[in-house]
Amino acid sequence: MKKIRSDNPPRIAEKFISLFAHYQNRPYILGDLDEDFSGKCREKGRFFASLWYWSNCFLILPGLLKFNLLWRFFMLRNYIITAFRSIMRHKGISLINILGLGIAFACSLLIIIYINFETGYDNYHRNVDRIYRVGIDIDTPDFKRTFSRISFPLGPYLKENFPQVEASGRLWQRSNVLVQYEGKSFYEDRFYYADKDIFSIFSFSFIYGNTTEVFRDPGTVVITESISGKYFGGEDPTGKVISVNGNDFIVSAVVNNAPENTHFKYNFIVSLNEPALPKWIHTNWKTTMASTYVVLKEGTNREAFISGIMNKVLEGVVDSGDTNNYFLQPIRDIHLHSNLSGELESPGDPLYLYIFAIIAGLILIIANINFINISTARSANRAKEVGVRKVIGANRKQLVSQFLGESFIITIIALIVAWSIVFLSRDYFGELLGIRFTSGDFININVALSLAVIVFLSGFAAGSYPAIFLSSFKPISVLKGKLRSGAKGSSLRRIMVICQFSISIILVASTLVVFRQVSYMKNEKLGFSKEQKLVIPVRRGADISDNYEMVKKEFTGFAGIYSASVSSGVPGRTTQGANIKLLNVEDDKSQWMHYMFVDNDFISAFELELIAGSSELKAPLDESKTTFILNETTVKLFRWHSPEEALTKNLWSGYGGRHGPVVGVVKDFHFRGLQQQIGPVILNNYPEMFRYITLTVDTANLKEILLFVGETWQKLFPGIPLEYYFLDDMFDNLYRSEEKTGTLIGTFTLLGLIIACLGLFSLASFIADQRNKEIAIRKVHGASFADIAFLQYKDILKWILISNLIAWPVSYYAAENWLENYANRIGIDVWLFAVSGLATLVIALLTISYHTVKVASSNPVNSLRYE
Amino acid sequence: MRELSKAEETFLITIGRLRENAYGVSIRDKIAELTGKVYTYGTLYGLLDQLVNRGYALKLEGAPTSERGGRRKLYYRLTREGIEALKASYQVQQSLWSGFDLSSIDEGLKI
Repeated sequence: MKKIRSDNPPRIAEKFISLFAHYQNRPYILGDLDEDFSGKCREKGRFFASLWYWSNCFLILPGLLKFNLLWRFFMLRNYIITAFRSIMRHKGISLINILGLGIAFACSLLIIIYINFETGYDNYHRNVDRIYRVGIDIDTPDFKRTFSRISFPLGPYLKENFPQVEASGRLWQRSNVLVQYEGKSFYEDRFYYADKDIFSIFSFSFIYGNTTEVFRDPGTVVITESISGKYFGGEDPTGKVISVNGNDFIVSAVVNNAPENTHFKYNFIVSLNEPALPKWIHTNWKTTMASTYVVLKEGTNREAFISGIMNKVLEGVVDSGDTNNYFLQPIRDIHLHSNLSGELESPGDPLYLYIFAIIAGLILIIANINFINISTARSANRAKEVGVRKVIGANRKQLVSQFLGESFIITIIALIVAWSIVFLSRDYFGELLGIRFTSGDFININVALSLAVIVFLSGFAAGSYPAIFLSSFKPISVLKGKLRSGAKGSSLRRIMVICQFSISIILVASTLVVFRQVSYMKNEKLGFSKEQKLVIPVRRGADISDNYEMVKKEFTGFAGIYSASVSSGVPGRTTQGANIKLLNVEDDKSQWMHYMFVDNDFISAFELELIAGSSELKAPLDESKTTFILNETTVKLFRWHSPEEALTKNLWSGYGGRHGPVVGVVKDFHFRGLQQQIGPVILNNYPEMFRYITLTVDTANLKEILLFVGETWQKLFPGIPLEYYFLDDMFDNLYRSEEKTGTLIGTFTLLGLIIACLGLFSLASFIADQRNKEIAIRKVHGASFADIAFLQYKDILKWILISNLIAWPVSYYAAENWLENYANRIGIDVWLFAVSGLATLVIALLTISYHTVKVASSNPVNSLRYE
Repeated sequence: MRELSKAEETFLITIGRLRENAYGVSIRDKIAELTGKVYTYGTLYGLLDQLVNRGYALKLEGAPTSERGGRRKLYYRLTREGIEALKASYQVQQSLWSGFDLSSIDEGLKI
């Protein structure tokens, strides 16, 4: 009945009223108001009438609320009371429901918090939607790579020449900076050179000092609260002088610590305009060193801006060499969706977020299935209650609201349980993930909203089936006892249990796969020895390029130290990379590969296996002559037929243009860890690059050795802090994230299994109840304990076998997908699935054993005496 | 029999006076005209529901009219109980007022 009238009352006001009016009176109230409205329209005009209508909206409220909400409240109270009564009457069942849902909610809550934390990276900046990082895609015939950093002069150039740019700021990350203050000296990593504009682009809050004072004078440094505490013990450090790599800097301001979820974690910030910095950084357009951020004005077209830069590049105004493509990355995307060269911190992996989200979903499904199964199983008992209620006059709608109310109350209690679990386990959880959560990570609008959605959906999903199913009973047949106890929905129950156990088996199998892969990576032969290796990084302030032979002698002069070797890096750390090509062959294409600069003892110290030539790596006689040792992959890369052929070649190296013969070939070794493929690597003696001393030590008398190493170090490099670690520890750390993921998935799997078993336990009790008489009659006829037990186990056995059939292909597919990320991976064996299936089966059988034994050993008289 | 409240009495009388035409707008307007008291529809329908619940009045749905945006009117009629209650109320009023003349009261009696 569409009306065609010019004087409609305001739509929104109408909606507003219908929101509050009781549904029975709603159309009439609206009609009356509409009628009044048209009268007012004719008399005083539309504007006045609208005004009147709106004011009525609010005037009408007290009356509506008084008469309608009051009734609703009474009804609600009634539902709550009946729900509580029902919960209290069946304490065991309610406990299982609440516990199961509570654990599931806790899991999903933790996972939501984690996902919210990860996706909330860099969200705290004021203009977060307009902050972009400028990246460059360098694509030349020789070289192809994408960098997150660009040249230094481009940042200021963008600000000056593009009206769209509101501000631009650069960061230059430095690590291993030696900071000293009154006898305290540490190597610091979160050290940045920056533009002053960084303080307005990103959001900082100042503890001491303010934005105007920052970088006003050269030779000043901004530090964070935690650094202030570390060096100055918390007192106001402004004006104090610290030594940075031997130069004096005055502390000009103290800012807040970097939040846990930002990709730019700072501790020291120094101006990029320091006169001590080399001049070329302000003029060289070809470097990729400056992480550059721009704030674009509101409504700026990103594509147009980028093509603007590209035009300048083509015109040759921005001189940055060959055809390079610039691009913008929204700052929020950096943590999860950017993994380029020169990231300020190693980025997160969205894959794990998906995995965890899926796990949370699966656990919720398991818990909700419990809820539904228990409710339908109990339908036999509740059918009578429904019958009586219906006879007394309850209509279907009231029954539905009653059942839904019950399930929502259980859900809400479960939520409280979940909060307590989360509250108690948050430190353990944070430790597992390596994140220090703040209370803001737990209590915020996103978490609350997602939780509300989950609770609502669970309450609804779990409550709606029993609500609809039970309320549809015909009172007369129920009360006559025609309804076979729980017969309806028993096939559904079977499907649900199979679904639960399929999920459980999938989770168990996934956990096993993750742990197998981790232990494989930890134990697989790396091709070199990582045992008993004490690694000492040689950092700024100490230098071993001229006297490394003497340093090695100093260390090997102790009984427990077998050998010493120096190198530019140790296996497992990032290596240098550069080009290499055949010497004196004009059209040869250069190959990009990894370099390790090592001394003569490296190959024997790390027990690399030589397959051709010699392991002699002589120190260079003059600036340009040198010798090379290659690995097998390099030989293959050059398409030489045998390692022996390699020995006939002369190479030219991109590192300083040195050249010389290949003297040896070593067997491939995993110099980057097992996550990655073995790449081509070249060993070369280049003393200027030596940064590590590796000692092979006798770990039996470690204490004396460490004491000796400390003394020797202080003798060699007085005043420089000694750092050391063991190589096998470092390798274990490489697999830490996999291990953590495995532990997390394992924990969640265990919880999921517990929930599933809780459900099975209560289901078993119902089934036992139902078959009580049947079993009693069987016993009277001579069935043994074993017969009865088998009767009970048979069903579960069947269900879990079907679950296995479903779970195996799914988990195979998932595991195969995950393992694809690893260059060196385990094969997926059938026994993994067999173990998962068997373990689940055993747990399930144990779960129902209590009821099985109880029923099988009960006296039939007790069940039959009422007949 | 339960005694009517003042508001219930007002409403029932108004419904009775309006005869076939007692619905939201007319009841509200009539009460405003007779007593000067303007009810909002929220309160109005609350009280009307109460009258229906107590059995003094009953609801009848009218035909939809274009004037009300295509919505139906909800007419109210007095039931037998409603009329009885009004009669009882009227008798109480009568007996209270009969033989009593307001103007005969001496204001000087004030202490």
